[in-house]
Amino acid sequence: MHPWSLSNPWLRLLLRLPLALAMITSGILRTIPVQMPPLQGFDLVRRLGEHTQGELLWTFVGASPVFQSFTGLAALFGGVLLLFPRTALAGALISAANLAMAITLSVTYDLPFKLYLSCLFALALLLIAPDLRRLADLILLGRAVEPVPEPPAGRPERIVLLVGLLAIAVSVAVAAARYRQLHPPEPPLYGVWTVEELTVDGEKSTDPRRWRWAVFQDPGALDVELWIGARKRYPLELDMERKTMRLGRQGELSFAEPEPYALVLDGRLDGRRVHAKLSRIGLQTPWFHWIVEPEWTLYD
Amino acid sequence: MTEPRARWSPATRIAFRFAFAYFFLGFVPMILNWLPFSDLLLEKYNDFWDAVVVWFYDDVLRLPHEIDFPGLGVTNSTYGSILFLGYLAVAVAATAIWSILDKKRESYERLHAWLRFLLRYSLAFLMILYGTMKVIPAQMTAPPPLRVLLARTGDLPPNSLLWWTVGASPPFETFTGLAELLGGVLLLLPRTTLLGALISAGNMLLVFLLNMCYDVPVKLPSLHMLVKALILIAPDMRRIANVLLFNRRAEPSRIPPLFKNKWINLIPHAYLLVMGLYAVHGGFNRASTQYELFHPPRPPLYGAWTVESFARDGREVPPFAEPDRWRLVLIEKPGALSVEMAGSMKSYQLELDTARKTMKLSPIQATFSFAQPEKDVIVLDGRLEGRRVRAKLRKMPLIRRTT
Repeated sequence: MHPWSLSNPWLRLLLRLPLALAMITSGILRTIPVQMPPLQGFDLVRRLGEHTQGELLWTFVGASPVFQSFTGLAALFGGVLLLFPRTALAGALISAANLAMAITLSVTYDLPFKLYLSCLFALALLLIAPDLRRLADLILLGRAVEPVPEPPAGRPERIVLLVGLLAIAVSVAVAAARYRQLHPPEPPLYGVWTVEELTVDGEKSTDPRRWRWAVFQDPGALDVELWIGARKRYPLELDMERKTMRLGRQGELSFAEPEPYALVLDGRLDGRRVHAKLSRIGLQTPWFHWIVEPEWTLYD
Repeated sequence: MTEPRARWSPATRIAFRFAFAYFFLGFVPMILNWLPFSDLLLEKYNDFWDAVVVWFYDDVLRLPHEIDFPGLGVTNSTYGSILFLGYLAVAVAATAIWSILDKKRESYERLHAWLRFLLRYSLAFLMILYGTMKVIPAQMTAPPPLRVLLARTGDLPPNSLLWWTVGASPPFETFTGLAELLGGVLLLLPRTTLLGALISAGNMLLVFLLNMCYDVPVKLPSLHMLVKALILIAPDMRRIANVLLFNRRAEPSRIPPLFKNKWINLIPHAYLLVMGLYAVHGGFNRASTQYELFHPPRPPLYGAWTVESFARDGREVPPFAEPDRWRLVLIEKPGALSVEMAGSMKSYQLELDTARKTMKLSPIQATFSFAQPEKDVIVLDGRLEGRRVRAKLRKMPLIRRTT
C-alpha cells in the first residue's frame, strides 16, 4: 500500500485522532449543557431585534438545555465511534453530518468558526473517501459489501483509545465545573417577573419611572427595570417566614404567592403605598404541552 | 420466482402485522382517493372514526366541553390524540387476531412491498411539502416581520423563539428545506429509497426533537414521519450495521417487487414518481404565493431602527432621561412611521421625498431632512413640535444582514 493512500491505517489514525478529540470535547460541552449558557436575568427582557443572528442562535439553544444535550450527544457519538478502527467509518459519517450542519449554521448565522469547522469537515471526508464505493454498494445499489482487512490492534490503537478516554475525562470535569458555575443555588423567588399591575397610593400608576420587570437573581439584591428603560438595584433582605422583604431604607413590602408563578407585593416603597401583581416571565415557566387545539394561534 | 421465500422471525412477523395494521388505518383515505366512486365510502370511514372519538370523549373521558373536529387525522389536538389511541387499539386487536389466524405464515414479502410503497408515497409528499416551503423561505417568515424584533425574548413562547430564530436567517431556512426536499425526492425512486429514508430520518429526528424541546404543536405528526422513515430503513438495518459497526459481509438487499410481472410492476412506481414531481411543482407554487403574501414590496428606509442619539435644541437627551425621547423608529409599510418612546408606541403618517431627502410626519408637526451615511445608519435633522431635533438611527442588529 502506498504510504499516502487514504486506506493506510497510520494515515487514518492521524486523521481520526484530532477529529475524534474535537467531536468528543465539543460534544461533552453540550451534552452537559454549558456551551450555550441558560437565559438569566435581563437576558430574558432583551428584544429579539437587539441580538445579532449569532447571539439569537445561542439564546435559542440556551433556552432548552435538553435540546442542547441532544446536539451534544450526536457529536459525542460520532467522536466515540472514531476511536475504534472498526467503527471509524460510522464515526466519520456521523461527524460529517454534524459538521455540515455546524458549518451551515456558522455561515448563515455569521458565526466565527467557519475555517476551523471546515478543516474538521475535511478530515471527516478524507476518512470517508476510501469507502465511497462500498457505501454506494450498501446504500444506493443494494449490492453485497465485503468486509475490509482490519489493522492489527497494536499499541498505536491503544494510545488513541487512551487519549480519547483522557479527553472524555477532562471534558466532563471542565463541563461539570462550568455547569456548577452557571447554576449557582437559586435564591427564593428566583427569576424574572413582569409587573402586571401596579397601584401607588390606591391609583393605577402611569409614571414612566414605575417598575416594569423585577429580577431576583443575586442573593441580597433586587434588580428592577423601569418603564423608561433605566435599571435600579435595591439591597434585599428576604424574610421567608414572615413573608416580607426589606429594600434597604427605600421600602418594606410583604409578599404572597397566591398561585404558582404569581407574586403579589404590598407595602411601602419610596414613601408611598404600593400594591403590585407580578408574574414569572413565560420562558421561565414550564412549557411542554402534549395537547394543543388547532385554533391555538401559531407563532405570534 | 426462483429465490427461496424468506423466513421472518416471529417477532418480525408480529411487528410487521402491527405496523401494517396501524399505518393502513391512516392510509385508508389516501387509498380510497385512488379508487373511483369511493367518496361515499370515505365519508362513512371518517364518520366511523368521528363517532368513536366522540364516544370516547363524552362517555369515557366525560369532558365538559364539546370536542372540536379539526379533521386532520392524527395530530396533537384532543381529537387527533384520541384518534391516535383509537388507531393503536384497533391495530393491537388486528395484530392479535391476525397472528392467531395466520400462525403458519413465514413472511409477508408481497404485503411488505405494498406497505413500503404506501409509506414512500405518504412520506415523500410530506417531505416535499415541508421542503419546498422552506427552500422558498415561507414556512418561518424570513426575515421576521418588524413587530417580532420588538418582542422580549422571555415573553416569547418557546415555539416562537424557534420560529423566529430560523426566520432570522433565510439562507439557513433554505438549507434545511433543501435537506428535506432531497430526502423526499429520493424516496420517489425504488433504487434511492434507502438513501431518501436515511436523509428523511435524520431530518425528522431533528424536527421531532425540536418539536418536543420547544413545544411545537405537531409532535405526533413529526413522530409519524420519523417512524415511517425508520420502517423503510428497517429491512436494510442489518446490512448497514454489518458494514458500519461490525465490519462483516453485507448480503445484497432483497426488496421484493409489487407485482411479479416486471412491466406491471413499473406502473405504481412510475405513478409515484410523476405524482411526486407534480408535488414538487405544486409545493414551490404554494410556497412562492405564501412568500409574496408575507413579503409585500418594502418602502424606502424599511426597517426597525434604534435611536442611538437624540439631541433637542442642540442638547443630547440620554436614552432614559425623558419619557418622550425617541427610542425606536419602525418603517414597515409605505406612508407610515412608528416611534417608540418610554413604553408607548405612536404611529404617524409619513410623506417621504427620496429625491430631496426629506420627510414629513403628521399629525404632529415634524419635518426632517435625512441622510444615510452608511447602509445601516440614518441621520435625521429638522424640527419636531417646534424644537430642533437631530437624531441618529441605526438598524437593529438582527436584520442588518437580511434587509
